[in-house]
Amino acid sequence: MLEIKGVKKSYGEFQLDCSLNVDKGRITGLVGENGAGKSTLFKAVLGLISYDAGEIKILGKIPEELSEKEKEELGVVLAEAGFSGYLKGKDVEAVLAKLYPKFEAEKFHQMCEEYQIPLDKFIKEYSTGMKAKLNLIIALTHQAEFLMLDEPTAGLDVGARERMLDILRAYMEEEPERSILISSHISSDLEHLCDDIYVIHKGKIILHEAMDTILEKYAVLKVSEEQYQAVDKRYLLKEKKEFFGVACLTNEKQYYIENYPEIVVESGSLDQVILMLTGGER
Amino acid sequence: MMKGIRGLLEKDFRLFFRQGGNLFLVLVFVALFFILTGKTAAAFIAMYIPSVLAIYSGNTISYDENGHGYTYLFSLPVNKKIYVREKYIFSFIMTACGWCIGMICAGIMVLINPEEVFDLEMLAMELITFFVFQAIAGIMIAIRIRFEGEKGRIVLPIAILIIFAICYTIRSFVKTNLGLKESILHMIGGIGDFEIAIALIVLSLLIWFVSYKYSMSAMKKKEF
Repeated sequence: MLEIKGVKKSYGEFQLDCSLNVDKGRITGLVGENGAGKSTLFKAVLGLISYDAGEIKILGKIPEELSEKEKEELGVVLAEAGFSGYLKGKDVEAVLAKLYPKFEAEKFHQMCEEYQIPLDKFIKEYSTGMKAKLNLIIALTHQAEFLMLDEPTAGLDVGARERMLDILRAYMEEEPERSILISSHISSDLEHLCDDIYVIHKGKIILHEAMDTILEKYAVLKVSEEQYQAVDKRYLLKEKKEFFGVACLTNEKQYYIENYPEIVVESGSLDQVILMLTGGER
Repeated sequence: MMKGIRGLLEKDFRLFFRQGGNLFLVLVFVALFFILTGKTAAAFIAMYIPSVLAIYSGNTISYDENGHGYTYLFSLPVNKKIYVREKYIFSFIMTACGWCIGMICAGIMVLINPEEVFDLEMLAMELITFFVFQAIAGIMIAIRIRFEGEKGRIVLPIAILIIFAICYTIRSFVKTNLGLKESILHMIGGIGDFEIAIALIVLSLLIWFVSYKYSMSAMKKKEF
């Protein structure tokens, strides 16, 4: 679906340097703090910005070569972007019906009703959450093969975020060939949704791992200074000084559980892994 | 290509009826006021309405710029070429509709006031103005695409001022050079009205075409 090989883009001091793959039938997450380069990457993939080096192939083509028909296969949500606020929800529906031959008007109505999106109101009068929901509904109602969702949960409360993630799971179940690339700065959103995770930090991918592997094999060891001196450091990825001693990130949890039963081993959540990777030393 | 254009046209017409609807009502109201009070010639009314709509059509670009609108539009099945093409089609439709409404208003004026003159010669002149307004709309679109947001709003009146200043300078220069004035009058006198009309239409189409090409190249260079 998507192949990004060594794409580079510079904005002053900021430098994006990324490689990433999204395979058919997979949900791939891109996690990183605000300003890490997630939106820049999305824009490059959509051909909205040029890039200095590397290669991007989306649906087998470079972004600039995507035809209208191929773009119909994409469902896109972009952070802080949408239709003009001077249009009403029902105007958007009419525009989509003209743009997408496979537009599902009934599903659009049903989802708007469920999410309490007032189609008779101007979009500029919507709350941030309503706008986010409308953008997701737009992406989901034309049978897109590939969803590209940049911060789709921004502005949503916890309940609405959970519901949105459920809808994405259901969307994937409808057609196993579909794929999703989803970004968020809230890692817990992606933890139970994605098959694959990429962590981006200051424009660079610092981790690519299957989500199951992170949950099964990654852990944070909490050790005192003495324990730290004695512990086998071959499988430590990052270390960070803490008030209790040293926190160490490993991708061989079982090894330390078996060989160092006295050490506190905290199973890795995505949040912990990111915090260690972006804040740790080594 | 057509689906993208149809979608964008739907968006622009809906924006017009949501936002420009009031402008349109004011426009018709002012035109009716002129008609009923008989203060202005029918020919003016027929020109006034399409000119306002031609200028408005270029203005829809500012709605697309707001709130990362361009970024979003180009994530839909729309590309830069489709976008520019749609803007020119939209401005053509708007000017054509304005022209028809203007003609209807002029007709009403003639019906109400039998002294009002709106003959075939004036109709021909109105036809020429249709092309002139297309050229003006083309320049408007090119400026709005080239200069985003506030810059576009500043550049537009400056461009109009420059055009007026050039016209005024030429006029003053011709006025003070009597020999030149006479030779121009002689030259124009030698050319028939039909030739002048054709020249104006060709010039307008040329400006329109150049503005279209310029808009395309300016849009191609844009990044969002």
